[in-house]
Amino acid sequence: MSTRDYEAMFILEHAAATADFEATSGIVDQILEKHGAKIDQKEKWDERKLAYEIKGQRRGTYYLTYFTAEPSAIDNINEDVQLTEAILRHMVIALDVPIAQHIETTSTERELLAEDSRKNSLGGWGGRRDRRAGSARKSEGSGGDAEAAPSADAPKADAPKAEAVAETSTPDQTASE
Amino acid sequence: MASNTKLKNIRKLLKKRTERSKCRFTRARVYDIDWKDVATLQKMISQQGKIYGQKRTGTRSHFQRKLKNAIKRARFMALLPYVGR
Repeated sequence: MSTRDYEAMFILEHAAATADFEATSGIVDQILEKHGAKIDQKEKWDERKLAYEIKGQRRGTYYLTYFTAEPSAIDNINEDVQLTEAILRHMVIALDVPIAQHIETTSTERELLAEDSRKNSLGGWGGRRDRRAGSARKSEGSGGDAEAAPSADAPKADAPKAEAVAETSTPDQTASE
Repeated sequence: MASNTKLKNIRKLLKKRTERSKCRFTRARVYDIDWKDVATLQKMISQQGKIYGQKRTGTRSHFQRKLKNAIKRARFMALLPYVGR
Protein backbone atom coordinates (compact mmCIF):
# COMPACT_ATOMS: atom_id res chain seq x y z
CA MET A 1 0.00 0.00 0.00
CA SER A 2 1.35 3.43 -0.76
CA THR A 3 1.70 6.06 1.93
CA ARG A 4 -0.41 9.12 2.27
CA ASP A 5 0.10 12.58 3.73
CA TYR A 6 -1.89 13.49 6.81
CA GLU A 7 -2.50 16.52 8.94
CA ALA A 8 -3.29 15.87 12.57
CA MET A 9 -4.19 18.20 15.38
CA PHE A 10 -4.05 17.12 18.98
CA ILE A 11 -5.43 18.94 21.97
CA LEU A 12 -3.08 18.30 24.86
CA GLU A 13 -3.92 18.69 28.50
CA HIS A 14 -2.97 22.25 29.36
CA ALA A 15 -1.34 21.62 32.73
CA ALA A 16 0.86 18.84 31.45
CA ALA A 17 1.76 20.71 28.30
CA THR A 18 2.75 23.94 30.02
CA ALA A 19 4.79 22.08 32.59
CA ASP A 20 6.76 20.17 30.00
CA PHE A 21 5.72 20.54 26.40
CA GLU A 22 8.50 18.38 25.03
CA ALA A 23 7.48 15.41 27.10
CA THR A 24 3.78 15.74 26.36
CA SER A 25 4.24 16.24 22.65
CA GLY A 26 6.77 13.44 22.78
CA ILE A 27 3.98 11.09 23.77
CA VAL A 28 2.18 11.97 20.56
CA ASP A 29 5.32 11.54 18.49
CA GLN A 30 5.93 8.15 20.03
CA ILE A 31 2.48 6.93 19.11
CA LEU A 32 2.88 8.13 15.56
CA GLU A 33 6.28 6.60 15.10
CA LYS A 34 5.24 3.36 16.73
CA HIS A 35 2.85 2.79 13.85
CA GLY A 36 5.33 3.70 11.19
CA ALA A 37 4.41 7.31 10.54
CA LYS A 38 7.13 9.61 9.34
CA ILE A 39 6.62 13.00 10.94
CA ASP A 40 7.23 15.76 8.45
CA GLN A 41 6.52 18.80 10.58
CA LYS A 42 5.24 19.49 14.01
CA GLU A 43 4.59 22.61 15.99
CA LYS A 44 2.84 23.98 19.00
CA TRP A 45 -0.06 25.59 17.24
CA ASP A 46 -1.72 27.48 20.06
CA GLU A 47 -2.54 27.60 23.74
CA ARG A 48 -6.04 28.80 24.16
CA LYS A 49 -9.35 28.64 25.90
CA LEU A 50 -11.49 25.89 24.47
CA ALA A 51 -14.85 26.85 22.99
CA TYR A 52 -16.44 24.35 25.35
CA GLU A 53 -15.35 22.07 28.14
CA ILE A 54 -13.63 18.84 27.15
CA LYS A 55 -13.10 16.21 29.83
CA GLY A 56 -13.44 18.87 32.46
CA GLN A 57 -10.76 21.05 30.93
CA ARG A 58 -11.32 24.62 29.85
CA ARG A 59 -7.93 25.39 28.36
CA GLY A 60 -5.86 23.34 25.97
CA THR A 61 -2.61 23.31 24.11
CA TYR A 62 -2.92 22.61 20.42
CA TYR A 63 -0.26 20.52 18.78
CA LEU A 64 -0.23 20.34 15.00
CA THR A 65 1.63 17.68 13.08
CA TYR A 66 2.03 16.72 9.48
CA PHE A 67 3.08 13.18 8.80
CA THR A 68 3.21 10.48 6.16
CA ALA A 69 1.87 7.04 6.87
CA GLU A 70 0.20 3.99 5.47
CA PRO A 71 -3.58 4.32 5.55
CA SER A 72 -3.86 1.09 7.52
CA ALA A 73 -1.91 2.60 10.39
CA ILE A 74 -4.39 5.37 11.08
CA ASP A 75 -6.89 3.18 12.89
CA ASN A 76 -4.18 1.96 15.21
CA ILE A 77 -2.99 5.49 15.84
CA ASN A 78 -6.52 6.57 16.72
CA GLU A 79 -6.86 3.68 19.13
CA ASP A 80 -3.65 4.51 20.96
CA VAL A 81 -4.45 8.18 21.12
CA GLN A 82 -7.84 7.52 22.64
CA LEU A 83 -6.24 5.52 25.40
CA THR A 84 -3.87 8.35 26.24
CA GLU A 85 -5.15 10.58 28.99
CA ALA A 86 -2.96 13.55 28.17
CA ILE A 87 -4.54 13.92 24.75
CA LEU A 88 -8.01 15.38 25.09
CA ARG A 89 -9.02 15.26 21.48
CA HIS A 90 -7.46 14.72 18.12
CA MET A 91 -8.33 14.82 14.47
CA VAL A 92 -6.50 13.28 11.54
CA ILE A 93 -7.17 14.61 8.08
CA ALA A 94 -5.91 13.08 4.87
CA LEU A 95 -4.33 15.59 2.54
CA ASP A 96 -4.68 15.30 -1.20
CA VAL A 97 -1.80 17.63 -1.89
CA PRO A 98 1.80 17.35 -0.69
CA ILE A 99 2.42 18.67 2.80
CA ALA A 100 4.69 21.51 1.82
CA GLN A 101 2.27 22.71 -0.80
CA HIS A 102 -0.63 22.50 1.62
CA ILE A 103 1.14 24.60 4.23
CA GLU A 104 2.15 27.18 1.69
CA THR A 105 -1.35 27.38 0.26
CA THR A 106 -3.15 27.69 3.58
CA SER A 107 -0.90 30.42 4.86
CA THR A 108 -1.18 32.36 1.60
CA GLU A 109 -4.94 31.99 1.55
CA ARG A 110 -5.32 33.07 5.14
CA GLU A 111 -3.39 36.21 4.33
CA LEU A 112 -5.52 36.81 1.23
CA LEU A 113 -8.74 36.47 3.20
CA ALA A 114 -7.46 38.74 5.95
CA GLU A 115 -6.50 41.34 3.40
CA ASP A 116 -9.82 41.03 1.67
CA SER A 117 -11.72 41.57 4.90
CA ARG A 118 -9.55 44.58 5.70
CA LYS A 119 -10.29 46.12 2.34
CA ASN A 120 -13.99 45.44 2.44
CA SER A 121 -14.77 45.94 6.07
CA LEU A 122 -15.91 49.54 5.69
CA GLY A 123 -19.14 48.45 4.08
CA GLY A 124 -19.80 47.61 0.46
CA TRP A 125 -18.27 44.76 -1.37
CA GLY A 126 -15.78 45.76 -4.06
CA GLY A 127 -17.25 48.39 -6.33
CA ARG A 128 -15.46 51.66 -6.75
CA ARG A 129 -12.79 50.92 -4.21
CA ASP A 130 -11.80 47.68 -5.82
CA ARG A 131 -11.95 49.00 -9.34
CA ARG A 132 -9.61 51.79 -8.46
CA ALA A 133 -7.04 49.58 -6.80
CA GLY A 134 -7.94 46.53 -8.86
CA SER A 135 -5.01 46.64 -11.22
CA ALA A 136 -2.61 46.79 -8.35
CA ARG A 137 -3.56 43.34 -7.12
CA LYS A 138 -0.81 41.25 -8.69
CA SER A 139 -0.58 37.47 -8.93
CA GLU A 140 -1.73 36.00 -5.67
CA GLY A 141 0.50 32.97 -5.75
CA SER A 142 -2.38 30.73 -4.66
CA GLY A 143 -0.37 27.56 -4.63
CA GLY A 144 -1.95 25.48 -7.36
CA ASP A 145 1.60 24.76 -8.49
CA ALA A 146 4.06 23.88 -5.77
CA GLU A 147 6.23 26.77 -6.78
CA ALA A 148 7.90 27.45 -3.47
CA ALA A 149 8.05 24.29 -1.42
CA PRO A 150 9.52 25.39 1.89
CA SER A 151 12.05 23.24 3.72
CA ALA A 152 10.55 20.55 5.83
CA ASP A 153 13.25 20.51 8.50
CA ALA A 154 12.32 23.09 11.06
CA PRO A 155 8.84 23.21 12.58
CA LYS A 156 7.11 26.00 10.77
CA ALA A 157 4.85 28.61 12.32
CA ASP A 158 1.45 28.60 10.69
CA ALA A 159 1.46 32.38 10.39
CA PRO A 160 1.38 34.23 7.07
CA LYS A 161 4.81 34.03 5.60
CA ALA A 162 6.79 37.08 4.60
CA GLU A 163 6.85 36.15 0.92
CA ALA A 164 3.09 35.72 0.79
CA VAL A 165 2.62 39.19 2.24
CA ALA A 166 5.08 40.66 -0.23
CA GLU A 167 3.25 39.02 -3.12
CA THR A 168 -0.21 40.23 -2.28
CA SER A 169 0.13 43.56 -0.56
CA THR A 170 0.85 46.72 -2.50
CA PRO A 171 1.28 50.33 -1.45
CA ASP A 172 -1.96 51.34 -3.18
CA GLN A 173 -4.21 49.49 -0.78
CA THR A 174 -4.20 52.32 1.74
CA ALA A 175 -7.33 53.56 -0.02
CA SER A 176 -9.39 51.34 2.22
CA GLU A 177 -8.25 53.04 5.46
CA MET B 1 -4.21 30.75 -31.57
CA ALA B 2 -5.47 33.90 -29.88
CA SER B 3 -2.97 36.66 -29.66
CA ASN B 4 -1.27 37.49 -26.42
CA THR B 5 -3.17 40.73 -26.04
CA LYS B 6 -6.50 39.00 -26.37
CA LEU B 7 -5.61 36.42 -23.73
CA LYS B 8 -4.39 39.14 -21.43
CA ASN B 9 -7.64 41.03 -21.84
CA ILE B 10 -9.68 37.95 -21.12
CA ARG B 11 -7.66 37.32 -18.02
CA LYS B 12 -8.13 40.89 -16.91
CA LEU B 13 -11.87 40.60 -17.46
CA LEU B 14 -12.06 37.43 -15.38
CA LYS B 15 -9.97 39.04 -12.69
CA LYS B 16 -12.30 42.02 -12.53
CA ARG B 17 -15.26 39.71 -12.42
CA THR B 18 -13.95 37.77 -9.50
CA GLU B 19 -12.97 40.93 -7.72
CA ARG B 20 -16.52 42.23 -8.04
CA SER B 21 -17.94 39.10 -6.50
CA LYS B 22 -19.90 39.23 -3.27
CA CYS B 23 -18.22 36.07 -2.11
CA ARG B 24 -15.10 36.75 -0.10
CA PHE B 25 -13.58 33.43 -1.08
CA THR B 26 -14.01 34.05 -4.79
CA ARG B 27 -12.49 37.48 -4.41
CA ALA B 28 -9.48 36.03 -2.71
CA ARG B 29 -9.51 33.13 -5.15
CA VAL B 30 -8.68 30.53 -2.58
CA TYR B 31 -8.60 26.83 -3.37
CA ASP B 32 -9.86 25.55 -0.08
CA ILE B 33 -11.07 26.83 3.25
CA ASP B 34 -8.83 26.03 6.16
CA TRP B 35 -10.67 24.87 9.27
CA LYS B 36 -7.86 26.32 11.38
CA ASP B 37 -8.50 29.83 10.09
CA VAL B 38 -10.64 30.86 13.05
CA ALA B 39 -10.55 34.53 12.14
CA THR B 40 -12.37 33.96 8.87
CA LEU B 41 -14.70 31.29 10.19
CA GLN B 42 -15.78 33.42 13.11
CA LYS B 43 -17.29 35.90 10.67
CA MET B 44 -19.50 33.22 9.19
CA ILE B 45 -21.32 32.19 12.37
CA SER B 46 -23.96 33.99 14.38
CA GLN B 47 -24.04 35.05 17.99
CA GLN B 48 -25.64 31.71 18.71
CA GLY B 49 -22.94 29.82 16.85
CA LYS B 50 -25.16 28.96 13.89
CA ILE B 51 -23.70 28.99 10.40
CA TYR B 52 -24.96 31.90 8.32
CA GLY B 53 -26.71 31.18 5.06
CA GLN B 54 -25.41 32.21 1.67
CA LYS B 55 -27.85 35.10 1.43
CA ARG B 56 -26.37 36.62 4.52
CA THR B 57 -22.71 36.24 3.67
CA GLY B 58 -22.83 36.35 -0.12
CA THR B 59 -20.83 33.15 -0.32
CA ARG B 60 -21.03 31.06 -3.43
CA SER B 61 -22.37 27.55 -3.08
CA HIS B 62 -19.04 25.90 -3.89
CA PHE B 63 -17.45 27.66 -0.97
CA GLN B 64 -20.47 27.40 1.29
CA ARG B 65 -20.12 23.63 1.16
CA LYS B 66 -16.43 23.83 1.99
CA LEU B 67 -17.19 26.36 4.69
CA LYS B 68 -19.75 24.09 6.27
CA ASN B 69 -17.20 21.32 6.60
CA ALA B 70 -14.52 23.66 7.85
CA ILE B 71 -16.79 25.04 10.54
CA LYS B 72 -17.84 21.60 11.64
CA ARG B 73 -14.22 20.53 11.94
CA ALA B 74 -13.36 23.64 13.88
CA ARG B 75 -16.27 22.98 16.20
CA PHE B 76 -15.07 19.46 16.83
CA MET B 77 -11.63 20.77 17.75
CA ALA B 78 -13.15 23.37 20.09
CA LEU B 79 -11.98 26.32 18.01
CA LEU B 80 -15.57 27.36 17.51
CA PRO B 81 -18.52 26.66 19.75
CA TYR B 82 -21.46 24.50 18.85
CA VAL B 83 -23.73 26.84 20.76
CA GLY B 84 -23.19 30.45 21.67
CA ARG B 85 -20.15 32.61 21.03
